[in-house]
Amino acid sequence: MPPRLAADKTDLELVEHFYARAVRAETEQRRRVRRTTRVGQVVVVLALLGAWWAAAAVYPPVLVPGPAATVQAFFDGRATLWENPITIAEIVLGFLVGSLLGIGLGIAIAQSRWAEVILTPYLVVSQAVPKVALAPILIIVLGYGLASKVAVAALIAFFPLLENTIAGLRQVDPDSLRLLQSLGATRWQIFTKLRVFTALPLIFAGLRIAAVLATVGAIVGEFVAGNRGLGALLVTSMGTFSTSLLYATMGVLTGLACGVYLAARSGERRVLARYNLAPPER
Amino acid sequence: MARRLVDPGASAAGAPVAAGTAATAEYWMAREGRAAAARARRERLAHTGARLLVLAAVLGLWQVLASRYDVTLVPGPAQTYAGLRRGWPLIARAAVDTSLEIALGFAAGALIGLILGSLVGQSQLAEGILHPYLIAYQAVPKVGLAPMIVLLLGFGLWPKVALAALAAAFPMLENTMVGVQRVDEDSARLFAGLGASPTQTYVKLRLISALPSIMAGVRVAVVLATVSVVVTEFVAGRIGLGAVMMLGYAQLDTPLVFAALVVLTAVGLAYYFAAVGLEALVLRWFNLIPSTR
Repeated sequence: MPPRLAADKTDLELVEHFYARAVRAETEQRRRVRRTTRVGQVVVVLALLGAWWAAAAVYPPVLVPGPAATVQAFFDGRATLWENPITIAEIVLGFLVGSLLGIGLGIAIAQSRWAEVILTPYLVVSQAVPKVALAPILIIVLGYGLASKVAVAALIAFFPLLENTIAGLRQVDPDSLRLLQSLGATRWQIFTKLRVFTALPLIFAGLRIAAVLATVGAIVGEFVAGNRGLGALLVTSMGTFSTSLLYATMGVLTGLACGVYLAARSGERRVLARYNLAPPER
Repeated sequence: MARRLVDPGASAAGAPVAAGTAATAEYWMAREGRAAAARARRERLAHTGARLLVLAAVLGLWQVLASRYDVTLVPGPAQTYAGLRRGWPLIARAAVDTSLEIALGFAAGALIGLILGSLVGQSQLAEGILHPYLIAYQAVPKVGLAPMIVLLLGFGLWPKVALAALAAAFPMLENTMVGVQRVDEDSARLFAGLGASPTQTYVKLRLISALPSIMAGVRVAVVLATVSVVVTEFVAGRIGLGAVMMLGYAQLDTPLVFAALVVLTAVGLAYYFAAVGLEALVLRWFNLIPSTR
């Protein structure tokens, strides 16, 4: 016999009662986990700040400047974004050039078997090789200005889009494809009405990766040949042992990179929601 | 063709017809198999031919470009080879340094990622706390940390190893965490029902079923370790192939830069294919399906 709360309750009322209680307990449990997580996050951030502060107290400021010195260096003004607009220009241009080329070439390759056959070995090699290593060569060829850094950023932003565009256009649902073919759809119609939409989630995932990689490319380009920009500032402040400036620059760079990433991600979510598509399985 | 359908048991002659039927079927199947194999071979041959032609065209274009421009801008294949021979003592030593840095950094990072990922995968709380850092990790250009690490660890081997370990640790952590959590529920119930201890469940079920994800992480981590090592060598130019490239770049000795890049490409490919081979080996050993990533 199941335990009874009260004799006047019917079985249905009992079921509802226990069900509601289970749901309440579950929500409560979830809320508790979320609260503990929030507290844990705050504790971890405080611990990290404390460790930084302690390290700064133990080591000389040339090695580890403390939080205060870093903030001071930031307000001295050389590490701010508006002092280094060139870095943003490099990232944006590199991202645009690299992703447009990647999508365009990806579409061409996905449509042609021979292009795929010929290019596959190069794609495999390109996955394995550190593409940033081409930076010195691109700078020798294109000079020390904006163009060479845009080229480095575009080069490494290019590959994830190429791969994801090809994979996305290929992974079309065979039943939908057969349906469209049996209804007499042309290749162009199949492309614009079916393939593009199945490819969108992967293409946007590629754009998100490309945004991060364009930032990496711009920074490495400035490492190798820079007198302007945040990457150049990192190397010069390392060379002159202006460590607090180095830390401040790294902080600004981190903020910039997070901004770029979050912008790419929110764009991705908005477009996928607009076309009612699911993000790709990681 | 129709003779293949004859039922040997129904024939009055018995054995001879049966033998003949089987022989005929074998004959036809072998012929079809041979034809398919020949088709596949012809196709492979055509593909290889096309690839070789394109490779030849690329090399030819490179040579043409090189002959039109100055050697400082674009050294041709021959000049790159000359640069490789001239700089060989330097490049060989640097290649050994770079390979060692990648190996050490990858090993340290992979180990840390594996251990942390296993621990974090056990606890929802730890995962929740770690989540913002995993997002930040995806967003932040890790190579930007190179100057900072160089200031702390000097210009030798260790800053390269440290940054490579940092870069390799996170994909390993994430893939281990996800793999350990994504376990077949029925198997988990079976383990629990048979009274397996948490350690047994972990080692014999979770870790094994996480292997495809972990091995995919190994592949990513090797590439990231290589990139980090090279960029740190750019910044702290004393040892390694990145340093040789920066040396050639500063002296406008472009053939040396190209030669070092070719060797670096070979090192990167060797590590990548070692990771791919290891993945195939491990997955075949445990009879698992590779991760789609």
